[in-house]
Amino acid sequence: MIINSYQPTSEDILKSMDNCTKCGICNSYCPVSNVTNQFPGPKYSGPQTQRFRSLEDLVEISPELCNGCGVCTSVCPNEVAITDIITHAKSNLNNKNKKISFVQTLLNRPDTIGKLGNIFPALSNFILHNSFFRYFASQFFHLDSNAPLPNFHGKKFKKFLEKIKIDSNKKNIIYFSGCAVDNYDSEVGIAVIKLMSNLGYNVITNTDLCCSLPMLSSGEWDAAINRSKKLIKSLSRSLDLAEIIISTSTSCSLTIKKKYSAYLNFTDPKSAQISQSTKDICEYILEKHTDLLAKRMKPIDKKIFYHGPCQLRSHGIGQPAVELLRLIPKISLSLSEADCCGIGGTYGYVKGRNEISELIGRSLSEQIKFHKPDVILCDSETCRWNIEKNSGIKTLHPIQIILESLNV
Amino acid sequence: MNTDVIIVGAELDAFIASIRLQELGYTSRVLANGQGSYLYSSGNIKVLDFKENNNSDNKTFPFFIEGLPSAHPYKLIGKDNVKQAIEWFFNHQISNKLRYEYFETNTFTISPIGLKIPSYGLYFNQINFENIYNKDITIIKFQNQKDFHAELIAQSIKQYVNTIEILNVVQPDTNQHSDSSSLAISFDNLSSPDNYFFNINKKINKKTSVVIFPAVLGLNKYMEIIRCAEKTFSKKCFEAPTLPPSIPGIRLNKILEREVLKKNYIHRGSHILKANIENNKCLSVVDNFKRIIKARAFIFANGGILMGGIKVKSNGEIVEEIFDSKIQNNNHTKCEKSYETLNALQTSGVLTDNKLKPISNSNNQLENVFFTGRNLSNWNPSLELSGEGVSIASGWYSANNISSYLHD
Amino acid sequence: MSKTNKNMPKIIVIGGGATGCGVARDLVLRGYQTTLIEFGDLGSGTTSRFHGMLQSGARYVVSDTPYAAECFRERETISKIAPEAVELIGGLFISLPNDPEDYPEKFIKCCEIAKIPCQEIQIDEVLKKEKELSNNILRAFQVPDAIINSWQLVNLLAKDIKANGGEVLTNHKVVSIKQYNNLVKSVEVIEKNGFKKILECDCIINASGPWSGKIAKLVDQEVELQLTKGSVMVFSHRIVSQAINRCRIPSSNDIMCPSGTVCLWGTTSEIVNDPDTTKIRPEEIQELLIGAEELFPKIKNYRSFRAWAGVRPLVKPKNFDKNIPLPRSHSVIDHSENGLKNFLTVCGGSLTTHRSMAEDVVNKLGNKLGINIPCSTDTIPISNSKNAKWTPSSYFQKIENQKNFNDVVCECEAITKTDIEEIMKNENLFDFHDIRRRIRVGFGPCQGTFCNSRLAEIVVNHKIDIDIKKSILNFWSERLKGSIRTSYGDQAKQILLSDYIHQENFGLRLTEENSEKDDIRA
Repeated sequence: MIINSYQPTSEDILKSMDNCTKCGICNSYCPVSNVTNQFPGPKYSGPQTQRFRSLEDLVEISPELCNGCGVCTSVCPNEVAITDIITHAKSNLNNKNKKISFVQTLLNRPDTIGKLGNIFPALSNFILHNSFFRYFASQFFHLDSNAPLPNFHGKKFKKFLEKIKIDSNKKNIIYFSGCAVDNYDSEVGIAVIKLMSNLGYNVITNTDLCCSLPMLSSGEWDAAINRSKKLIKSLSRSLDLAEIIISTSTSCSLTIKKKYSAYLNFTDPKSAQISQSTKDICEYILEKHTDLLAKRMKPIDKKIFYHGPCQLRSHGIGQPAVELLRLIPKISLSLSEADCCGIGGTYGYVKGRNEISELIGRSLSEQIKFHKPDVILCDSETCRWNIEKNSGIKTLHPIQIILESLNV
Repeated sequence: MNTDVIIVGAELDAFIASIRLQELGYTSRVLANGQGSYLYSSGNIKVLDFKENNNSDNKTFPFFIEGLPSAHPYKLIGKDNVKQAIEWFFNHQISNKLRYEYFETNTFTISPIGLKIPSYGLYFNQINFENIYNKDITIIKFQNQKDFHAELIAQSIKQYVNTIEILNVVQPDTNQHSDSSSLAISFDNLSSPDNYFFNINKKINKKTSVVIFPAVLGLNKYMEIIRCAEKTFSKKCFEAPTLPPSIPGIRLNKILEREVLKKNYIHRGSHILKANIENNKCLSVVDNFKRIIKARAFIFANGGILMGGIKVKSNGEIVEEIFDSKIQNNNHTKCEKSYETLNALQTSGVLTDNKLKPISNSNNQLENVFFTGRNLSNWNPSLELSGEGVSIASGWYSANNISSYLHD
Repeated sequence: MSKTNKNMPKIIVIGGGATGCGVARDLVLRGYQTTLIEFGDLGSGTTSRFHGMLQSGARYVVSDTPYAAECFRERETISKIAPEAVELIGGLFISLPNDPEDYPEKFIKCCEIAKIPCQEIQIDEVLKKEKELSNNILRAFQVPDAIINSWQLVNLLAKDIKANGGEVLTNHKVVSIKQYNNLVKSVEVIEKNGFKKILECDCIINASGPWSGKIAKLVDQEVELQLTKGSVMVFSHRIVSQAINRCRIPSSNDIMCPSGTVCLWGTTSEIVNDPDTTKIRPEEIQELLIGAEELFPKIKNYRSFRAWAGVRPLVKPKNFDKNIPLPRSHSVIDHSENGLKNFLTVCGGSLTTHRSMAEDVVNKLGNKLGINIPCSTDTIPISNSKNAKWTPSSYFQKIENQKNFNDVVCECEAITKTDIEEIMKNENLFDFHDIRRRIRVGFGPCQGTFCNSRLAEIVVNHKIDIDIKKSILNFWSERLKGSIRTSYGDQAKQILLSDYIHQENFGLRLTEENSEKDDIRA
């Protein structure tokens, strides 16, 4: 029906409330409503309330507690775009009463914070991880003192990019690095360049772009429109040089694939082309290079635990990272059965919601304690920071292990 | 990865087929659009209401099939295959995890409103009528719990028991959860169930010999918890069903998924929009991201009209949209009475041969496509109480047929 | 404070729809001792089976201008005296290419005569606001239509009647009426539980709508009615924000009217003999869809979760000519012209004019009895709540403010356990339907799939003496009868889910006996 169309618009999303048969399966799988009574559940905040929202303005707080994981939409048998309906309700374009808090405004701009922090990265790291600062931040602008903050990596990634040479015999591919790789997770970006070069590509990296997912998830849609337009413009130009855009964040790639049309109604041909051309890196490698990898991968002597981020479900591609990892000979791989690690992007950074994040993450923590892995893999950045903080075990992006296995 | 078989749907038949295919040495990919209809059941396995629904003299399994109409799925599959399929299921480790007990004819469990339901298989300590005849019963209801109809159950069963009391007890978690899944998770997280049950024991009537709990005693640790309760009370303990989605259904779901994910893949949130056919062979299917997924054979286990595998148009036309299969349309819009209309809607479905392969409306017999479960026609799971039986039998049987097909 | 007076005559009103309740209210406000008798539950006849409009009158402005003027006056009055049952959404009259070209000019002229405010609106403005309308529309006229919650209306009227000393007897069937010397003396009634009683009276007002003929027969009187069955389909969300009418002589498939959270499309039109005809033929649904498609091209993609039919009574005048359409305005029949001195019938009209119909017949009664108390129903408000309008979202907002999500029983309509327990405390209830009609449990798209058994659990806890298993089955099968007529698309899934839960999971069995032999009222 409605979300079966390739690029559903916000009208399609909101109309999908009619498909709901009240079966309640979404409520049973919602990580948030399963741990707290404060959130009435996706069925209630989504299609049920939407019938009333379309009549008149309502004063609601409940939708704020949704962490945007998308598990509800993936288990709904009736194609109701539940998460998207709730996110629409959060937006400041649809809800005139909506106020974005100061901490959320900061969290919505990880690229800006990254740029500022990376002017003097050592100093910024010192301040950011200083317990006095955390206390101050928690008291005065509600940044939870438990939240997993990353480290500023300075200009490491950009400096690496400057050293790369273009080889005209190789095929071009575009890499959308995203604010996490640009500013905090340079290792992942460096691994991508090495891996894709090894597989025969020139990697054209578009840095300093933000997919605006934190703004979209928290409802700051007017600001999101400008940012997203900037991204579309930049990637559009790159599409003159290559056909595919890869991303190492399942959250960012999902936003580009589906959310611009679903939330902001970007239905122009340029946006549609970008949506169709964007792929998760493991998705792409799985499609094109499994035979090559199967031949060249060497065993890894580490106990690996993989957690598929909740947003990965919404891609509908299964877990391509697992399929790639299973090509590694004699791999010791165990899979997470948790639906969500709890952090929900920027959700768990806000004071008051961090407790909910922790309760959600309990199941994953128990599984990690049980399996005792040497390394944990996860395709999304805030999930990685969250898992590493809670478990104390090094948490990487799957391609970092794949690269290791290729001995590059 | 080159998948042998694509299975579209999340029904019980989908997972059974995948597990059976793995046994026979074939890989599969389950493209699940949501969760399956067995989540609406109470966890019991129903094969047929032998008494009401067959005309043969022999009322035991599997001889009941003799009395069914010739186009019934059980008849298409054949008595011996049905027998093998059901026995395979109950002997498989997946049902051992839930310790299903089965009976030669039927036994009776209790429905969420207290009525007797003829069932072929009951999971470990699912309430069985035999166990409560003439006994002194206590029904436990958790404070704040929604959707467990203790009073209705008590009213219905009181004619069969000696004495009955309903006991309101506190929940294990101070969070006061109201729905079944959050209650079940709070039981999983209970660090000392013996303490908890010890406190409840003080309130139970000394005369009581049987204690009935709502079916929420944990998702993963169910058997430990109920054994702990039995040990603490020194009484038999059983679970009675809540309103759906049921926790026993979710338990089964987790076990099925775990089994499939050992060697195969599940794409959650995947919607198939069309298929590519050439020379009466289906080559691939296309999803809502325009992704083309190839395989050598296909099973459509996507739940019929109830779960969206088959659509009903506004003029009463019933269509299967992917292959335009021939439909048994019993003209539900032309029926006078509502119960006739309902029966006509239930028994409409895809027409298949006795290998469960459909014929398209253009009279092409597809050689590598199979339909299972609620997609099939000429059976009414509600009137016959045969939902799980047909699912298991058709899933297992179609897997066998594919194995023969691929082998040749 | 009771207004009725022991010195005033005893009047029995037969019929508990909008008309009957309006008559009974008018009577008690004038001091008469009043008893209202209704066969089923209030409003379960024609009152609840129409398309929900409190019309401006523009629909009949060309075919029956005086009636249209009366409608407009009454619409103003009712929106003042019962604001919590009314929503002033406005209406549009739309001309399509195949509509008669000369009608719009006649329409404008007659609106002027009837003093109904009417203004032509630019098409692109209309299409911007109502995105579902077809691009083919030619002309559009804005009129002050409104919508009314008929269940709420009759419940408010009944509350007012009782507060002022009147008696309201629901679930009472009239068995016989005793007359002596050309005067009716008493009415014999039988309750649902089989208990009979005799009620004495000085006069009877027959306000039983399509059953007026049957009731009149009990005293050997004639009320000649033309009974027209009309079917309505419910769409699960507000496709339009105001009432949309076809700008042509009133016929079938004319009206799309929002009502609370849903939208009603209707009606078909078929002459019937039996006032109890509420069955919908499958062809009628197709007729309705084809008619709706002319205005709303995408209508077949939307979910319709229920359809119902109601019988409209129009009075056949003495010199009835088959070729002229029957007048819509009401009639008051004084049966003393036919030998029965204290029996009056009031019939015809519409829900919009129910109050003026009541005023008319009670005035006539006063003239006969020589009691000249003026009518006050147009000025005294029925509801004394501070709500400015019918707010379907108020239930939802209450839950959000109190955060008692756990308490919700009917999810579609946001009804809580507390709301239901309130109703059970204050009223005489026979079955789940009585609860449903007062508080909308089971009215939403899921048609009682989940709230059915939750409601049963609450009722059992309150130890009300009803057969629970039968009630659950009865509630389900009644909801099914209406929703199965539109069992396509998502509604087909909903119905099968409901069937899964009730038959496959709960173990109830739907048979001819327990599903068809049933209350056929709303």
